[in-house]
Amino acid sequence: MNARFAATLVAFAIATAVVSRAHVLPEFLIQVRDPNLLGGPLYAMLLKTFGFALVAGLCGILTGGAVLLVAWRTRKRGAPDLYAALAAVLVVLCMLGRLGVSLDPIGWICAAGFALMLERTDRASVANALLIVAAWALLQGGAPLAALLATLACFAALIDTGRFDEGVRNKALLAAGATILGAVQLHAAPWHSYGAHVLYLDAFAAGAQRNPLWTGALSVSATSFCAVIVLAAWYGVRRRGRSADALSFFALMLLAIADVRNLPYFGIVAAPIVADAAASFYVDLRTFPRGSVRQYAIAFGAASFAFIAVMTASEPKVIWWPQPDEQPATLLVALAKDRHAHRLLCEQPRWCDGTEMVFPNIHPLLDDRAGVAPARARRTQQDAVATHGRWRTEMAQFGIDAVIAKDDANIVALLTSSGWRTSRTVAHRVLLRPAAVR
Amino acid sequence: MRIAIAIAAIFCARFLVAAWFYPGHDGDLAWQLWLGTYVLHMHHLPVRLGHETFTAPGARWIPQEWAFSVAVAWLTSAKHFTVLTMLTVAAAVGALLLTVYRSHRRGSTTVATALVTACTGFAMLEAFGVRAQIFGWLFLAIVLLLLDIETAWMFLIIPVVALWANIHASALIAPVLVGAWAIGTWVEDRAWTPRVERNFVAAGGTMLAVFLTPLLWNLPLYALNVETSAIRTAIAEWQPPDLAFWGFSGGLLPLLAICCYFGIAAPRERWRDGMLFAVSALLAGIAVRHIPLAALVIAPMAAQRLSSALPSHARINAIMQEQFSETLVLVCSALVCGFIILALEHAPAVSDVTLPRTAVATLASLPGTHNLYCEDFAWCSLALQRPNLRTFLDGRCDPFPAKVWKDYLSVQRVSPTWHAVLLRWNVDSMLVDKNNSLAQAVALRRDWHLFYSDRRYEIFLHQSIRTAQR
Repeated sequence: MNARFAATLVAFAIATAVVSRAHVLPEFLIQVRDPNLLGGPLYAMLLKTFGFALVAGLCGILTGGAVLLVAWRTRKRGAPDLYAALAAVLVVLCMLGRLGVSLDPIGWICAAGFALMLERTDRASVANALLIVAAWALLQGGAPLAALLATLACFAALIDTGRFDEGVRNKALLAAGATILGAVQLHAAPWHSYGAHVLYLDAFAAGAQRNPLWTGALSVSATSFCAVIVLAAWYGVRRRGRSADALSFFALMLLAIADVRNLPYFGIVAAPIVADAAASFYVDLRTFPRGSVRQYAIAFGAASFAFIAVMTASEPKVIWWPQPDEQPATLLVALAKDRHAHRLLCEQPRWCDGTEMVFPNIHPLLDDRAGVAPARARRTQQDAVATHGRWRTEMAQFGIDAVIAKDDANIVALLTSSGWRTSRTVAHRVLLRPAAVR
Repeated sequence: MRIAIAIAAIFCARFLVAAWFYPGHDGDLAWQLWLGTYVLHMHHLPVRLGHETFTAPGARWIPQEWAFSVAVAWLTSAKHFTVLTMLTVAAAVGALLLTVYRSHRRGSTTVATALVTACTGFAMLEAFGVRAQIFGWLFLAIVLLLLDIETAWMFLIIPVVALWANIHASALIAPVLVGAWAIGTWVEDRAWTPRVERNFVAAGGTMLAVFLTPLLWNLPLYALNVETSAIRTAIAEWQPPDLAFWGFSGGLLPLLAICCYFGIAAPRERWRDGMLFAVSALLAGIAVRHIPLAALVIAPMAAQRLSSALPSHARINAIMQEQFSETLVLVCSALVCGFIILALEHAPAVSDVTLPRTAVATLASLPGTHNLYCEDFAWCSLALQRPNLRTFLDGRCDPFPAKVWKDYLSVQRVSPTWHAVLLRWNVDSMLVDKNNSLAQAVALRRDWHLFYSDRRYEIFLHQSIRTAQR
């Protein structure tokens, strides 16, 4: 069987899937105006100039490109085409839960490219890898992952060789560079708006943005994770005798368990390792890809151009603002209508994503950037949602005059029984206002 | 192996302390006592809920833990509840020791066996209690041992599973595991060999064995229903695992990591082990209650693979096999056991009674019959023994219809309809935790007044009762 184009087919199938159902992830609404990340303004400019179809097509092609890079990395490890296709399928499974329009595909393709460079030992690859990290840090918020992977690769190289040779020195150089770039992103560069903070990681630590991997049912994400784990356990990630494989596999595995948003990154790192382990179990003959990277890149670029052109041409050119299903847009419109300034508390911080941009008179207590909010605001959010402690006083101190929550939430019953009223209800979500307000 | 046994002894001490004080923490024993007493007096299993509940009298009930409940009632009436406590501890430790033995049989080295024993113990620790499923752990360990042995003795699996099914519905996992094992041997042999045939016959036998209870086909149907039931969201042990659950992060996760690192595709056994690993990994992601079961399955595989990296001639294994090292570990183990018992005996989290026994007794002393809503349904199990108290929902939980569950949750979560629900069901008394939202909500209502309060619990009565008393 000729499996040469299997991975490519998988990659373009997933790109088409992204575009055909261009689901907008809720955080996209704040990402496109996040001054910390140039990817946001870039997407905003593309949206304004070319319309949503081009942005969706671009996300699709970035996703497909990441999958192709994963397959390429599998081939560069010596695994035959069939196993490269297996890696492509595994990484697509891990991405399924997060497919859509957001800055994530930028992070994925950067991660896939960085992982590819990380497996090489020459100086040119170090420079290329640092360029990728720099671009990643400018465009999307996941660049500290590169620092983590590079540091682990450096330790692994030291463990494998047992001495500080040329290869280890190159890895150390890369780790140092990636750590500096990652730290700059984490602690905010001077032009950033939030000041010094641990971008997104502090929100992750606070639990405000955490999405657990397991939800109690057989979800796509949980099953995909399980598939990678079972295959890894079947063949063993140490099969090729590379410490870097094991260290990066387990680090990303823990991150994926901690938050399902890391699952695609786990797939990107783990899929080639697992597919290569399977290949080395069954296939004695190692085969390496023929042809230059330049040729492959030109072919991929041409195919991507055609893909995006067809998608953009077949979609209407209307510039429109995508509203994710998860956002309580109608309630926000109802609140903003009176043009007075409002302080809003959303039961789920991400329901408030993008609110300040679309409705300048609404100031949410927290949105998906919960981590950059003051600790007091986070505590008030937690206490109010749990109706715990002095939550009413804390809400009053922040001047909160509107609450959006699910209709069966504790806070709804307790507020409505003490002077608040339901102003509007849409799809099991309610907007609450103090009764005195008309 | 002695070092692994010393580690098992430490867990034995911890289980012992937990089991000793367990009746003060878990309301389930109250309904099991009630069920067991019913069976001992009536000589048959109840098939429907009675008038001890006012929301679902006559609802169909499959009392799957009937044998354990009879043991609870019999031993409690004979003032020998301690025997059940000891048996539960013995079951948990037995499961752990059988895992040690399975690891040893697979040629695992001292350090590898000790490590996986500690991980398995951690995986069991959080879920441990005087509960029917603990005996399920022991039965699972026996089934896995018989699978490992792979002789004609493996047909003992069938009576073992039949016994298991009478004690707890987790027996339904046995046909899945034995079936996966049989498929694994079939793939390995690539032909219908006598071994494959025997394993498939055993798998068929286990499938039939789960029907050998007084509940017949109702037990498998019940187990399937529970796995997909909406009530799982309200029950702690049905929640999905997370890194914060240290039975997972400190117990199962290291075992999974060892398997992932070394691989379980050894030429001789790869498909059998691989199939069991796949089933266990999938199950463990569904609910925390499956974590000990998954750990019992995976631990010997992890020990066997770890031993390839730490062979018996490795320095650490050689040191651990010396007489002095073994004695030192055994002495340390004895000291730790003593410390655990002495320290936890006085720890408030362990030794305090956390159930609202006094609150329920005080309410029962009021004249008349009361319709009681408990914020935690397990507390209402204490009311089953009180003839003048009728429960909204109690620890038997499974037979209550979805509508009752929905109403129960809408009150517990203080949804906007919570008070209308209580009025619709004629609830006249509420048992709540004074630190939770429901206590705040009910305190704001003028038609409810505080009747009882202690350090943790409050009972509110509806005004209809006060009017009647006047």
